[in-house]
Amino acid sequence: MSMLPADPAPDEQPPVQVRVLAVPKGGASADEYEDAATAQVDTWPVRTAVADGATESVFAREWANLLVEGVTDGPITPTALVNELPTWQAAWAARRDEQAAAAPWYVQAKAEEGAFATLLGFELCADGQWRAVGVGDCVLLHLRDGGIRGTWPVETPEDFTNRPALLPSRPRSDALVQNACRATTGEWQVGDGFLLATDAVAAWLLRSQERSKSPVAPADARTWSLEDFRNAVATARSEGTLHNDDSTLLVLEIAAPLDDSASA
Amino acid sequence: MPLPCRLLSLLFLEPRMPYSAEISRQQPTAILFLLDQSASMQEPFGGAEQTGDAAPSRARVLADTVNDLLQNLVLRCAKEEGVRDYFHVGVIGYGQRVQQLIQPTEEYDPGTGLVPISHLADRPQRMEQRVKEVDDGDGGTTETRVKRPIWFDPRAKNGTPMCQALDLAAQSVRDWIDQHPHSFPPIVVNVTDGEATDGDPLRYAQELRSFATDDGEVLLFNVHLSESEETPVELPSSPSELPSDDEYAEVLFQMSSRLPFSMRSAAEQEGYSVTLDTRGFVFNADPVSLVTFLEIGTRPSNLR
Repeated sequence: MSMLPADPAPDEQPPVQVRVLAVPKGGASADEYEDAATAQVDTWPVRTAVADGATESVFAREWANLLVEGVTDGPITPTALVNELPTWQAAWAARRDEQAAAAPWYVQAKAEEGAFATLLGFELCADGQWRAVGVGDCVLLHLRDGGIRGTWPVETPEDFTNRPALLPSRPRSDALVQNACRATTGEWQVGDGFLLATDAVAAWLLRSQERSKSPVAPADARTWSLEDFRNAVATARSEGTLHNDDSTLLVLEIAAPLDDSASA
Repeated sequence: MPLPCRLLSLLFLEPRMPYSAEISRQQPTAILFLLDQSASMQEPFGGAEQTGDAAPSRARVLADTVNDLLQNLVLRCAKEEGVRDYFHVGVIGYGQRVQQLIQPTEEYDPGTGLVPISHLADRPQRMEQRVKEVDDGDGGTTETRVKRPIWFDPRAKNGTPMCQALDLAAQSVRDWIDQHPHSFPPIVVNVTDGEATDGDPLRYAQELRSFATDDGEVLLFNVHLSESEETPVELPSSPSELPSDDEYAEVLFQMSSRLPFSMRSAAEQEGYSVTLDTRGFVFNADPVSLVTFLEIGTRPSNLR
């Protein structure tokens, strides 16, 4: 149950803090990082998103960036996503087709196939509700009181596959996108935290949660600095508990109201 | 992390399975094709005339299939900035001669006959244009012209010196493994339509498969192209699934490696039922089963 009144004025909303923790896959340079994350926290509803560009496509980083910017620019609903997708696809093509035309045969062929990415959009509404929409296996974790209140759309590490649903940068049939697009909703409270994670990080955190002796727990992420995250990722990769993949974690904290936190 | 926690986490590490090495530019894998170029490859696939097909020769179908597969391998590695060397690739033809069909240029010759795939991507023998149907986004299709790289053309002459080809392959992978001891091991795919004419290939196959990286032994898969109308035997787990009167089929079965985990998963996704004993082998392959198997057998795992 929400601790907030049903429809509070925007200036009565608690402060929301967002940090993006990102580490490229090992052995790759920073400019080869193909995840994307963004947050819009200045006005309500607060909107955030993460996306994971598919390695086996070209211009995937640009596609992931267009998706997170696009999805946080409007309501977080499947209808909005399906309606806006052609606009994002046109923007990708406008930027990339000319560049691809002057490139070798393999870049042309890959650009023709288009880029692919998974996407998770998240919205914190002033009425105490949150909404999420997604395609593929980026994961939302809702944290409360030092534990996990829920995860979506993947619940266990075994549920990850090598073939998640993907959003294409070239037009495909609307039905394919509609079938792949999922949505959920819930209620938030002051003090809650939300994590938006790309697949490798999500699988690692969920696996850690299942192991009682694991050195890492999802709730740890609430206090991680980028340095902490880098260290945890490096350790987990070397121990084989985290796949070597671009690793992105967006941490959203709903702080206590300013009056209460002034002394903290 | 406090020391006790770290020790505990080490206790929970699982021993690494073979054939699970990450494939990256720092740690590529190798794919080597052995292609039968004997005189009998001039014939069409079994049953092609009866079904009224235009009946291209088996050599033509094989050259087209392998050119397409090399193109797909390049595309899997292609990024906007260039082709990433996840694979080193070689093609050995055996018929009138036993020879490497893909020659590295002078400035880059690793000495193994296995060429980094970026090198292959930039040096096809020629480019052909072809018309391809693509999804138009409205539930229909539209035609578009695409460029198609050709690395080699069909050949068919003389006998089937498979033992020499396996021996040359063994030299290639041995030298390559010396340079890449931690990689996913080389995958060798032998495509043939007949019996070896230069000895017992099982001995050479066993020698080839005895080479190993830290991640496992060399994988040897065999595809036997159909001369008859018999239904293909795809991915058998036991010799009892093969034609009972065909000793040669059993030799090829014994020559073939078991499919590692990642390829068993790929096979299951293609609708095959597999076991731990499933071999990377197709007997009496038609063009469709040839393409399907090559797709499964050249997908070792995700690229990083």
